[in-house]
Amino acid sequence: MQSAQRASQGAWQPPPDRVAQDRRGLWIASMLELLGLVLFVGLFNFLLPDLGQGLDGLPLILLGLAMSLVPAALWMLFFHRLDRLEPEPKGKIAHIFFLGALVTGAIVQPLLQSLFDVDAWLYASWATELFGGILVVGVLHALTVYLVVRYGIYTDPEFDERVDGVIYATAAGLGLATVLNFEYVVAHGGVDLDVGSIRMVINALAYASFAGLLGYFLGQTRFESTPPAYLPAGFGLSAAFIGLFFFLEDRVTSAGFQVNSWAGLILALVVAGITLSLIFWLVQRANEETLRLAQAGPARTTAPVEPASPPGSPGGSSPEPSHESQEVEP
Amino acid sequence: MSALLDALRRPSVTNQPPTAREQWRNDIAVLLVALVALLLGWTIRNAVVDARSQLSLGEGLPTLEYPRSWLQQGGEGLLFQAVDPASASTFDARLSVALREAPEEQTLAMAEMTWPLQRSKEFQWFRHLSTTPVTGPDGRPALRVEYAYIADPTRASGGNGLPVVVRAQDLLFLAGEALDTRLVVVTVAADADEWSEHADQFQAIFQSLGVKEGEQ
Repeated sequence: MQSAQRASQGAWQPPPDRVAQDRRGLWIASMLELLGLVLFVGLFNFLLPDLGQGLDGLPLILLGLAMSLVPAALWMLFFHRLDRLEPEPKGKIAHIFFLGALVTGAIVQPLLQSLFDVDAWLYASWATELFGGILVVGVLHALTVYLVVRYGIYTDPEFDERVDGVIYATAAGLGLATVLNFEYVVAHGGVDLDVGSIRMVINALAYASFAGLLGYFLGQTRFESTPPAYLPAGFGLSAAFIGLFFFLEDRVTSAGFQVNSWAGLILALVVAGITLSLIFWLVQRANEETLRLAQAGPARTTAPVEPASPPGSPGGSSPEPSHESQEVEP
Repeated sequence: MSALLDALRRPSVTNQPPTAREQWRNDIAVLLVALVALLLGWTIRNAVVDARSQLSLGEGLPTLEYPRSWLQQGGEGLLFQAVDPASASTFDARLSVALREAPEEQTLAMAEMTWPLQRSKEFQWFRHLSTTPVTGPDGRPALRVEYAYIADPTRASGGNGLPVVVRAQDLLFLAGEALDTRLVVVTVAADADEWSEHADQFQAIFQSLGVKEGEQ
Protein backbone atom coordinates (compact mmCIF):
# COMPACT_ATOMS: atom_id res chain seq x y z
CA MET A 1 0.00 0.00 0.00
CA GLN A 2 2.86 2.28 0.75
CA SER A 3 4.03 2.12 -2.81
CA ALA A 4 0.56 2.71 -4.14
CA GLN A 5 0.35 5.82 -2.00
CA ARG A 6 3.69 7.03 -3.27
CA ALA A 7 2.70 6.58 -6.89
CA SER A 8 -0.68 8.15 -6.31
CA GLN A 9 1.14 11.35 -5.38
CA GLY A 10 3.31 11.33 -8.51
CA ALA A 11 2.93 10.94 -12.24
CA TRP A 12 2.12 7.74 -14.05
CA GLN A 13 4.65 4.97 -13.50
CA PRO A 14 5.28 2.20 -16.01
CA PRO A 15 6.04 -1.35 -14.88
CA PRO A 16 9.68 -2.26 -14.04
CA ASP A 17 10.24 -4.35 -17.16
CA ARG A 18 9.25 -1.32 -19.21
CA VAL A 19 11.46 1.05 -17.22
CA ALA A 20 14.39 -1.33 -17.58
CA GLN A 21 13.95 -1.86 -21.30
CA ASP A 22 17.19 -1.53 -23.20
CA ARG A 23 17.62 0.29 -26.46
CA ARG A 24 20.52 -1.17 -28.33
CA GLY A 25 19.73 1.22 -31.15
CA LEU A 26 20.71 4.21 -29.01
CA TRP A 27 24.14 2.86 -28.20
CA ILE A 28 24.85 1.71 -31.74
CA ALA A 29 23.58 5.04 -33.08
CA SER A 30 25.86 6.89 -30.66
CA MET A 31 28.90 4.89 -31.70
CA LEU A 32 28.01 5.33 -35.37
CA GLU A 33 27.66 9.04 -34.64
CA LEU A 34 31.29 9.10 -33.45
CA LEU A 35 32.34 7.36 -36.64
CA GLY A 36 30.14 9.58 -38.79
CA LEU A 37 31.58 12.72 -37.26
CA VAL A 38 35.12 11.54 -37.93
CA LEU A 39 34.13 10.97 -41.57
CA PHE A 40 32.50 14.42 -41.61
CA VAL A 41 35.77 16.00 -40.47
CA GLY A 42 37.75 13.88 -42.92
CA LEU A 43 35.48 14.97 -45.76
CA PHE A 44 36.19 18.66 -45.26
CA ASN A 45 39.85 18.26 -44.39
CA PHE A 46 41.05 15.65 -46.88
CA LEU A 47 38.52 15.04 -49.65
CA LEU A 48 37.11 18.54 -50.08
CA PRO A 49 39.65 20.82 -48.45
CA ASP A 50 39.02 23.59 -51.00
CA LEU A 51 35.23 23.51 -50.78
CA GLY A 52 34.92 26.86 -49.07
CA GLN A 53 37.54 28.62 -51.15
CA GLY A 54 36.14 31.25 -53.43
CA LEU A 55 33.09 31.55 -51.22
CA ASP A 56 32.55 34.54 -49.01
CA GLY A 57 29.72 36.48 -47.46
CA LEU A 58 26.28 34.90 -47.52
CA PRO A 59 27.11 31.68 -49.43
CA LEU A 60 29.91 30.85 -46.99
CA ILE A 61 27.68 31.60 -44.00
CA LEU A 62 24.90 29.42 -45.43
CA LEU A 63 27.31 26.55 -46.04
CA GLY A 64 28.69 26.95 -42.51
CA LEU A 65 25.20 26.99 -41.06
CA ALA A 66 24.27 23.84 -42.96
CA MET A 67 27.44 22.22 -41.63
CA SER A 68 26.58 23.12 -38.05
CA LEU A 69 23.39 21.06 -38.35
CA VAL A 70 25.23 17.96 -39.56
CA PRO A 71 26.21 16.45 -36.15
CA ALA A 72 22.61 16.59 -34.88
CA ALA A 73 21.21 15.39 -38.20
CA LEU A 74 23.61 12.42 -38.22
CA TRP A 75 22.60 11.35 -34.71
CA MET A 76 18.90 11.62 -35.52
CA LEU A 77 19.39 9.71 -38.75
CA PHE A 78 21.28 6.83 -37.09
CA PHE A 79 18.85 6.74 -34.19
CA HIS A 80 15.86 6.76 -36.54
CA ARG A 81 17.30 3.85 -38.51
CA LEU A 82 18.25 1.77 -35.49
CA ASP A 83 15.41 2.47 -33.08
CA ARG A 84 12.84 0.18 -34.68
CA LEU A 85 11.80 -2.20 -31.90
CA GLU A 86 9.98 0.28 -29.66
CA PRO A 87 10.50 3.45 -31.64
CA GLU A 88 10.67 6.66 -29.68
CA PRO A 89 8.44 9.25 -31.38
CA LYS A 90 10.74 11.19 -33.66
CA GLY A 91 8.51 14.25 -33.44
CA LYS A 92 9.12 14.45 -29.70
CA ILE A 93 12.86 14.02 -30.09
CA ALA A 94 12.86 16.80 -32.69
CA HIS A 95 10.70 18.89 -30.35
CA ILE A 96 13.26 18.56 -27.54
CA PHE A 97 16.11 19.27 -29.97
CA PHE A 98 14.47 22.51 -31.12
CA LEU A 99 13.47 23.44 -27.58
CA GLY A 100 17.11 23.01 -26.51
CA ALA A 101 18.23 25.18 -29.41
CA LEU A 102 15.58 27.81 -28.71
CA VAL A 103 16.33 28.13 -24.99
CA THR A 104 20.05 28.31 -25.71
CA GLY A 105 19.73 30.91 -28.45
CA ALA A 106 17.05 33.05 -26.84
CA ILE A 107 18.01 32.95 -23.16
CA VAL A 108 21.26 31.21 -22.23
CA GLN A 109 23.71 32.68 -24.73
CA PRO A 110 22.41 36.26 -24.28
CA LEU A 111 22.78 35.73 -20.52
CA LEU A 112 26.36 34.52 -20.93
CA GLN A 113 27.32 37.28 -23.34
CA SER A 114 25.48 40.23 -21.82
CA LEU A 115 24.88 39.68 -18.14
CA PHE A 116 27.96 37.58 -17.37
CA ASP A 117 30.01 39.11 -20.21
CA VAL A 118 32.20 36.00 -20.20
CA ASP A 119 34.49 37.20 -22.99
CA ALA A 120 35.69 40.04 -20.76
CA TRP A 121 36.97 37.89 -17.91
CA LEU A 122 36.75 34.14 -18.49
CA TYR A 123 40.17 33.88 -20.12
CA ALA A 124 41.96 36.22 -17.71
CA SER A 125 43.79 33.26 -16.10
CA TRP A 126 43.69 29.48 -16.01
CA ALA A 127 41.81 29.61 -12.71
CA THR A 128 39.04 31.86 -14.03
CA GLU A 129 38.77 29.73 -17.15
CA LEU A 130 38.43 26.53 -15.13
CA PHE A 131 36.15 27.73 -12.33
CA GLY A 132 34.22 30.24 -14.43
CA GLY A 133 33.83 27.57 -17.09
CA ILE A 134 32.29 25.19 -14.56
CA LEU A 135 30.30 27.60 -12.37
CA VAL A 136 28.89 29.80 -15.12
CA VAL A 137 29.14 28.19 -18.57
CA GLY A 138 28.83 24.58 -17.43
CA VAL A 139 26.02 25.27 -14.98
CA LEU A 140 23.99 27.36 -17.43
CA HIS A 141 24.37 24.78 -20.19
CA ALA A 142 23.56 21.86 -17.88
CA LEU A 143 20.59 23.82 -16.56
CA THR A 144 19.38 24.29 -20.12
CA VAL A 145 19.40 20.55 -20.73
CA TYR A 146 17.79 19.88 -17.36
CA LEU A 147 14.96 22.36 -17.78
CA VAL A 148 14.26 21.36 -21.39
CA VAL A 149 13.98 17.67 -20.52
CA ARG A 150 12.27 18.24 -17.17
CA TYR A 151 9.56 20.50 -18.52
CA GLY A 152 9.56 19.41 -22.15
CA ILE A 153 9.10 15.64 -21.91
CA TYR A 154 9.71 14.31 -18.38
CA THR A 155 6.06 13.80 -17.43
CA ASP A 156 5.02 12.68 -20.88
CA PRO A 157 3.87 9.03 -21.11
CA GLU A 158 6.47 8.53 -23.83
CA PHE A 159 9.13 9.05 -21.17
CA ASP A 160 8.62 5.52 -19.89
CA GLU A 161 12.08 3.98 -19.88
CA ARG A 162 15.17 4.82 -17.90
CA VAL A 163 17.18 5.22 -21.10
CA ASP A 164 14.70 7.84 -22.35
CA GLY A 165 16.47 10.30 -20.06
CA VAL A 166 19.67 9.74 -22.06
CA ILE A 167 17.87 9.94 -25.42
CA TYR A 168 16.03 13.20 -24.77
CA ALA A 169 18.90 14.86 -22.92
CA THR A 170 21.22 14.02 -25.82
CA ALA A 171 18.71 15.61 -28.20
CA ALA A 172 18.60 18.74 -26.02
CA GLY A 173 22.41 18.79 -25.82
CA LEU A 174 22.69 18.56 -29.59
CA GLY A 175 20.22 21.45 -29.93
CA LEU A 176 22.45 23.47 -27.61
CA ALA A 177 25.59 22.53 -29.56
CA THR A 178 23.94 23.43 -32.85
CA VAL A 179 23.20 26.95 -31.63
CA LEU A 180 26.80 27.35 -30.41
CA ASN A 181 27.97 26.24 -33.85
CA PHE A 182 25.54 28.69 -35.52
CA GLU A 183 26.96 31.49 -33.39
CA TYR A 184 30.51 30.49 -34.26
CA VAL A 185 29.73 30.59 -37.98
CA VAL A 186 27.93 33.93 -37.82
CA ALA A 187 30.56 35.53 -35.55
CA HIS A 188 33.32 34.56 -37.95
CA GLY A 189 31.44 35.58 -41.10
CA GLY A 190 31.36 31.98 -42.30
CA VAL A 191 34.10 29.56 -41.30
CA ASP A 192 37.27 28.04 -42.54
CA LEU A 193 35.50 24.78 -43.37
CA ASP A 194 38.28 22.38 -42.37
CA VAL A 195 39.00 23.94 -38.97
CA GLY A 196 35.32 24.86 -38.59
CA SER A 197 34.17 21.28 -39.10
CA ILE A 198 36.48 20.12 -36.30
CA ARG A 199 35.20 22.81 -33.96
CA MET A 200 31.59 21.84 -34.68
CA VAL A 201 32.25 18.17 -34.07
CA ILE A 202 34.00 18.90 -30.77
CA ASN A 203 31.00 20.94 -29.58
CA ALA A 204 28.53 18.28 -30.65
CA LEU A 205 30.47 15.43 -29.03
CA ALA A 206 30.94 17.27 -25.76
CA TYR A 207 27.37 18.44 -25.31
CA ALA A 208 25.81 15.18 -26.49
CA SER A 209 27.98 13.23 -24.02
CA PHE A 210 27.59 15.42 -20.96
CA ALA A 211 23.89 16.01 -21.60
CA GLY A 212 23.54 12.23 -21.92
CA LEU A 213 25.17 11.85 -18.51
CA LEU A 214 22.68 14.28 -16.97
CA GLY A 215 19.96 12.38 -18.84
CA TYR A 216 20.96 9.19 -17.03
CA PHE A 217 20.32 10.90 -13.68
CA LEU A 218 17.03 12.31 -14.97
CA GLY A 219 16.01 8.82 -16.07
CA GLN A 220 16.87 7.45 -12.64
CA THR A 221 14.96 10.09 -10.69
CA ARG A 222 11.94 9.74 -12.95
CA PHE A 223 11.42 6.10 -11.97
CA GLU A 224 13.27 5.66 -8.68
CA SER A 225 12.95 7.25 -5.30
CA THR A 226 16.42 8.75 -4.90
CA PRO A 227 18.34 10.42 -2.06
CA PRO A 228 17.99 14.23 -1.99
CA ALA A 229 21.55 14.81 -3.24
CA TYR A 230 21.35 12.35 -6.12
CA LEU A 231 19.99 14.55 -8.92
CA PRO A 232 21.90 17.68 -7.82
CA ALA A 233 25.06 15.54 -7.85
CA GLY A 234 24.32 14.42 -11.40
CA PHE A 235 23.62 17.97 -12.41
CA GLY A 236 26.87 19.17 -10.81
CA LEU A 237 28.83 16.35 -12.42
CA SER A 238 27.53 17.27 -15.86
CA ALA A 239 28.29 20.99 -15.35
CA ALA A 240 31.76 20.17 -14.00
CA PHE A 241 32.55 17.93 -16.96
CA ILE A 242 31.46 20.65 -19.42
CA GLY A 243 33.71 23.25 -17.78
CA LEU A 244 36.62 20.85 -17.31
CA PHE A 245 36.40 19.53 -20.84
CA PHE A 246 36.55 22.94 -22.51
CA PHE A 247 39.36 23.95 -20.15
CA LEU A 248 41.39 20.91 -21.22
CA GLU A 249 40.36 21.42 -24.83
CA ASP A 250 41.83 24.92 -24.74
CA ARG A 251 45.08 23.59 -23.26
CA VAL A 252 45.34 20.82 -25.82
CA THR A 253 44.51 22.87 -28.91
CA SER A 254 46.53 25.98 -28.03
CA ALA A 255 50.23 25.48 -27.55
CA GLY A 256 51.87 28.90 -27.69
CA PHE A 257 50.94 30.54 -30.97
CA GLN A 258 50.15 27.18 -32.60
CA VAL A 259 46.60 25.88 -32.82
CA ASN A 260 46.29 22.13 -33.04
CA SER A 261 42.64 21.36 -33.73
CA TRP A 262 43.35 17.67 -34.34
CA ALA A 263 44.55 17.17 -30.79
CA GLY A 264 41.31 18.75 -29.62
CA LEU A 265 39.30 16.39 -31.82
CA ILE A 266 41.12 13.34 -30.47
CA LEU A 267 40.48 14.49 -26.91
CA ALA A 268 36.78 15.01 -27.69
CA LEU A 269 36.49 11.57 -29.29
CA VAL A 270 38.19 9.88 -26.34
CA VAL A 271 36.08 11.75 -23.78
CA ALA A 272 32.85 11.08 -25.70
CA GLY A 273 33.73 7.39 -26.06
CA ILE A 274 34.46 7.03 -22.35
CA THR A 275 31.38 9.01 -21.29
CA LEU A 276 29.04 7.07 -23.57
CA SER A 277 30.51 3.77 -22.37
CA LEU A 278 30.06 4.87 -18.76
CA ILE A 279 26.44 5.87 -19.37
CA PHE A 280 25.82 2.58 -21.20
CA TRP A 281 27.30 0.62 -18.29
CA LEU A 282 25.36 2.60 -15.68
CA VAL A 283 22.07 2.12 -17.53
CA GLN A 284 22.71 -1.61 -17.99
CA ARG A 285 23.53 -2.11 -14.32
CA ALA A 286 20.59 -0.02 -13.14
CA ASN A 287 18.25 -1.95 -15.46
CA GLU A 288 19.55 -5.26 -14.12
CA GLU A 289 18.97 -4.02 -10.59
CA THR A 290 15.42 -2.95 -11.40
CA LEU A 291 14.59 -6.32 -12.95
CA ARG A 292 16.24 -8.25 -10.13
CA LEU A 293 14.21 -6.37 -7.52
CA ALA A 294 11.04 -6.75 -9.56
CA GLN A 295 11.53 -10.51 -9.65
CA ALA A 296 12.44 -10.71 -5.97
CA GLY A 297 9.31 -8.84 -4.86
CA PRO A 298 7.46 -6.34 -7.02
CA ALA A 299 7.37 -3.04 -5.26
CA ARG A 300 6.31 -0.79 -8.09
CA THR A 301 2.77 0.23 -8.55
CA THR A 302 1.63 0.90 -12.05
CA ALA A 303 -1.51 2.81 -11.19
CA PRO A 304 -1.93 5.55 -13.77
CA VAL A 305 -2.74 8.59 -11.71
CA GLU A 306 -3.02 11.99 -13.31
CA PRO A 307 -0.72 11.41 -16.25
CA ALA A 308 0.27 14.44 -18.29
CA SER A 309 -1.34 12.68 -21.21
CA PRO A 310 -2.97 9.36 -20.40
CA PRO A 311 -1.52 6.35 -22.21
CA GLY A 312 -3.76 5.32 -25.01
CA SER A 313 -5.15 8.80 -25.44
CA PRO A 314 -4.41 10.72 -28.65
CA GLY A 315 -1.63 12.53 -26.87
CA GLY A 316 0.03 9.40 -25.59
CA SER A 317 1.08 6.85 -28.13
CA SER A 318 3.01 4.55 -25.81
CA PRO A 319 2.23 0.87 -25.80
CA GLU A 320 -0.42 -0.11 -23.30
CA PRO A 321 1.03 -0.17 -19.81
CA SER A 322 -0.22 -2.56 -17.19
CA HIS A 323 -2.78 -0.83 -15.02
CA GLU A 324 -2.64 -3.30 -12.21
CA SER A 325 -1.66 -2.03 -8.82
CA GLN A 326 0.75 -4.18 -6.91
CA GLU A 327 1.25 -4.31 -3.21
CA VAL A 328 4.65 -3.81 -1.69
CA GLU A 329 6.27 -6.60 0.16
CA PRO A 330 8.11 -4.83 2.96
CA MET B 1 35.39 4.63 -6.56
CA SER B 2 33.29 1.48 -6.56
CA ALA B 3 31.13 2.97 -3.80
CA LEU B 4 30.56 6.06 -5.95
CA LEU B 5 29.65 3.98 -9.00
CA ASP B 6 27.41 1.84 -6.85
CA ALA B 7 25.61 4.93 -5.58
CA LEU B 8 25.31 6.19 -9.16
CA ARG B 9 23.73 3.08 -10.54
CA ARG B 10 21.70 2.04 -7.53
CA PRO B 11 20.17 5.07 -5.84
CA SER B 12 17.19 3.06 -4.66
CA VAL B 13 17.05 -0.51 -3.54
CA THR B 14 13.28 -0.65 -3.52
CA ASN B 15 12.18 0.11 -7.11
CA GLN B 16 9.82 2.58 -5.50
CA PRO B 17 8.76 5.40 -7.79
CA PRO B 18 9.28 8.94 -6.53
CA THR B 19 6.40 10.87 -5.06
CA ALA B 20 5.36 14.24 -6.41
CA ARG B 21 6.91 15.76 -3.32
CA GLU B 22 10.22 14.06 -4.06
CA GLN B 23 10.13 15.31 -7.64
CA TRP B 24 9.49 18.80 -6.37
CA ARG B 25 12.34 18.42 -3.88
CA ASN B 26 14.67 17.32 -6.71
CA ASP B 27 13.73 20.37 -8.79
CA ILE B 28 14.34 22.74 -5.91
CA ALA B 29 17.65 21.06 -5.06
CA VAL B 30 18.91 21.34 -8.65
CA LEU B 31 17.81 24.97 -8.91
CA LEU B 32 19.52 25.74 -5.60
CA VAL B 33 22.76 24.13 -6.74
CA ALA B 34 22.57 26.10 -10.00
CA LEU B 35 21.83 29.33 -8.14
CA VAL B 36 24.70 28.90 -5.69
CA ALA B 37 27.09 28.01 -8.53
CA LEU B 38 26.01 31.04 -10.56
CA LEU B 39 26.43 33.32 -7.54
CA LEU B 40 29.95 31.96 -7.04
CA GLY B 41 30.61 32.46 -10.74
CA TRP B 42 29.28 36.01 -10.49
CA THR B 43 31.64 36.66 -7.58
CA ILE B 44 34.60 35.39 -9.62
CA ARG B 45 33.49 37.54 -12.54
CA ASN B 46 33.29 40.67 -10.41
CA ALA B 47 36.61 39.93 -8.75
CA VAL B 48 38.27 39.71 -12.18
CA VAL B 49 36.43 42.60 -13.82
CA ASP B 50 36.88 44.92 -10.83
CA ALA B 51 40.49 43.94 -10.17
CA ARG B 52 42.78 46.94 -10.57
CA SER B 53 46.50 47.45 -10.93
CA GLN B 54 48.09 50.58 -9.57
CA LEU B 55 50.49 52.74 -11.48
CA SER B 56 52.51 55.44 -9.81
CA LEU B 57 53.28 58.17 -12.33
CA GLY B 58 56.39 59.18 -10.42
CA GLU B 59 57.59 61.14 -7.46
CA GLY B 60 55.25 64.00 -6.70
CA LEU B 61 52.79 62.69 -9.24
CA PRO B 62 49.48 60.97 -8.59
CA THR B 63 48.74 57.25 -8.78
CA LEU B 64 46.15 55.79 -11.13
CA GLU B 65 44.41 52.44 -11.35
CA TYR B 66 43.60 50.43 -14.47
CA PRO B 67 41.99 47.00 -15.09
CA ARG B 68 44.33 44.20 -14.04
CA SER B 69 43.46 42.14 -17.11
CA TRP B 70 44.97 44.78 -19.41
CA LEU B 71 48.40 44.05 -20.81
CA GLN B 72 51.32 46.44 -20.61
CA GLN B 73 52.82 47.50 -23.91
CA GLY B 74 55.66 49.77 -24.87
CA GLY B 75 54.94 52.94 -26.78
CA GLU B 76 57.20 55.56 -28.29
CA GLY B 77 57.39 58.63 -26.07
CA LEU B 78 55.09 57.09 -23.50
CA LEU B 79 55.71 56.59 -19.81
CA PHE B 80 53.23 53.73 -19.75
CA GLN B 81 50.69 51.99 -21.95
CA ALA B 82 48.25 49.14 -21.28
CA VAL B 83 45.76 47.59 -23.69
CA ASP B 84 42.64 45.51 -23.25
CA PRO B 85 43.37 42.19 -24.98
CA ALA B 86 39.66 41.33 -24.95
CA SER B 87 38.79 44.19 -27.31
CA ALA B 88 36.86 42.93 -30.29
CA SER B 89 38.34 45.58 -32.58
CA THR B 90 41.78 45.33 -34.17
CA PHE B 91 42.46 48.56 -32.27
CA ASP B 92 42.59 47.46 -28.63
CA ALA B 93 41.10 49.82 -26.06
CA ARG B 94 44.02 51.40 -24.23
CA LEU B 95 45.37 53.66 -21.58
CA SER B 96 48.59 55.59 -22.08
CA VAL B 97 50.47 58.10 -19.98
CA ALA B 98 52.99 60.62 -21.25
CA LEU B 99 55.00 63.24 -19.41
CA ARG B 100 56.09 66.29 -21.35
CA GLU B 101 58.41 68.96 -20.11
CA ALA B 102 56.46 72.16 -19.85
CA PRO B 103 58.03 75.52 -20.62
CA GLU B 104 58.26 77.83 -17.64
CA GLU B 105 55.50 80.04 -18.93
CA GLN B 106 53.22 77.07 -19.74
CA THR B 107 49.72 77.37 -18.35
CA LEU B 108 46.70 75.18 -18.77
CA ALA B 109 45.02 77.96 -20.70
CA MET B 110 47.85 77.82 -23.20
CA ALA B 111 47.63 74.07 -23.41
CA GLU B 112 43.95 74.37 -24.17
CA MET B 113 44.85 76.40 -27.25
CA THR B 114 47.82 74.40 -28.46
CA TRP B 115 47.06 70.81 -27.54
CA PRO B 116 44.53 70.00 -30.28
CA LEU B 117 46.91 71.47 -32.83
CA GLN B 118 49.72 69.31 -31.52
CA ARG B 119 47.54 66.19 -31.63
CA SER B 120 46.46 66.98 -35.17
CA LYS B 121 50.13 66.63 -36.20
CA GLU B 122 50.39 63.22 -34.54
CA PHE B 123 47.25 61.54 -35.86
CA GLN B 124 45.70 61.07 -39.28
CA TRP B 125 42.33 62.65 -40.03
CA PHE B 126 42.29 64.20 -36.57
CA ARG B 127 39.03 65.78 -35.42
CA HIS B 128 38.87 67.84 -32.26
CA LEU B 129 35.51 67.16 -30.62
CA SER B 130 35.53 69.11 -27.36
CA THR B 131 37.60 70.54 -24.51
CA THR B 132 36.16 70.50 -21.01
CA PRO B 133 37.74 72.04 -17.89
CA VAL B 134 37.61 69.56 -15.00
CA THR B 135 39.05 69.20 -11.54
CA GLY B 136 42.16 67.05 -11.70
CA PRO B 137 44.29 65.18 -9.17
CA ASP B 138 44.66 66.86 -5.78
CA GLY B 139 42.10 69.45 -6.81
CA ARG B 140 44.33 70.93 -9.53
CA PRO B 141 42.75 72.35 -12.63
CA ALA B 142 42.79 69.97 -15.58
CA LEU B 143 41.48 69.70 -19.10
CA ARG B 144 39.69 66.83 -20.79
CA VAL B 145 40.19 66.98 -24.54
CA GLU B 146 38.08 64.68 -26.65
CA TYR B 147 38.96 63.89 -30.26
CA ALA B 148 38.85 61.24 -32.98
CA TYR B 149 41.23 60.07 -35.68
CA ILE B 150 41.87 57.24 -38.10
CA ALA B 151 44.27 54.47 -37.06
CA ASP B 152 45.57 51.55 -39.09
CA PRO B 153 46.40 48.99 -36.40
CA THR B 154 47.06 45.98 -38.66
CA ARG B 155 49.41 47.77 -41.03
CA ALA B 156 52.48 47.43 -38.84
CA SER B 157 52.04 43.66 -38.67
CA GLY B 158 51.57 43.37 -42.43
CA GLY B 159 47.85 42.63 -42.11
CA ASN B 160 45.25 44.06 -44.43
CA GLY B 161 42.52 44.89 -41.92
CA LEU B 162 40.49 48.02 -42.41
CA PRO B 163 41.53 51.30 -40.77
CA VAL B 164 39.64 52.12 -37.59
CA VAL B 165 37.99 55.29 -36.38
CA VAL B 166 39.41 55.85 -32.92
CA ARG B 167 37.75 57.95 -30.25
CA ALA B 168 40.00 59.23 -27.47
CA GLN B 169 40.17 61.50 -24.45
CA ASP B 170 43.27 63.23 -23.06
CA LEU B 171 43.38 64.37 -19.48
CA LEU B 172 45.92 67.20 -19.19
CA PHE B 173 47.25 68.67 -15.99
CA LEU B 174 50.44 70.32 -14.83
CA ALA B 175 52.39 68.58 -12.08
CA GLY B 176 55.85 68.05 -10.74
CA GLU B 177 58.21 68.42 -7.83
CA ALA B 178 58.98 71.99 -8.67
CA LEU B 179 56.06 74.23 -9.42
CA ASP B 180 54.11 72.85 -12.37
CA THR B 181 57.06 71.73 -14.42
CA ARG B 182 55.55 68.89 -16.39
CA LEU B 183 52.49 68.41 -18.45
CA VAL B 184 50.92 65.05 -17.66
CA VAL B 185 48.84 63.53 -20.45
CA VAL B 186 46.64 60.57 -19.55
CA THR B 187 44.97 59.19 -22.68
CA VAL B 188 42.19 56.65 -23.02
CA ALA B 189 41.26 55.46 -26.51
CA ALA B 190 39.12 52.82 -28.19
CA ASP B 191 37.51 51.94 -31.50
CA ALA B 192 34.68 54.49 -31.79
CA ASP B 193 32.20 51.64 -32.26
CA GLU B 194 33.26 50.14 -28.92
CA TRP B 195 33.54 53.36 -26.95
CA SER B 196 30.35 52.81 -24.99
CA GLU B 197 31.51 49.32 -23.94
CA HIS B 198 34.68 50.76 -22.42
CA ALA B 199 33.23 54.01 -21.09
CA ASP B 200 32.87 52.65 -17.54
CA GLN B 201 36.49 51.46 -17.47
CA PHE B 202 37.73 54.81 -18.75
CA GLN B 203 35.65 56.65 -16.20
CA ALA B 204 37.07 54.43 -13.43
CA ILE B 205 40.62 55.25 -14.58
CA PHE B 206 39.94 58.99 -14.39
CA GLN B 207 38.15 58.60 -11.06
CA SER B 208 41.20 56.82 -9.63
CA LEU B 209 43.11 60.04 -10.37
CA GLY B 210 40.49 62.00 -8.49
CA VAL B 211 39.08 63.70 -11.58
CA LYS B 212 35.76 65.43 -11.00
CA GLU B 213 33.46 67.17 -13.40
CA GLY B 214 33.59 70.97 -13.38
CA GLU B 215 36.21 73.41 -12.21
CA GLN B 216 36.95 73.80 -8.54
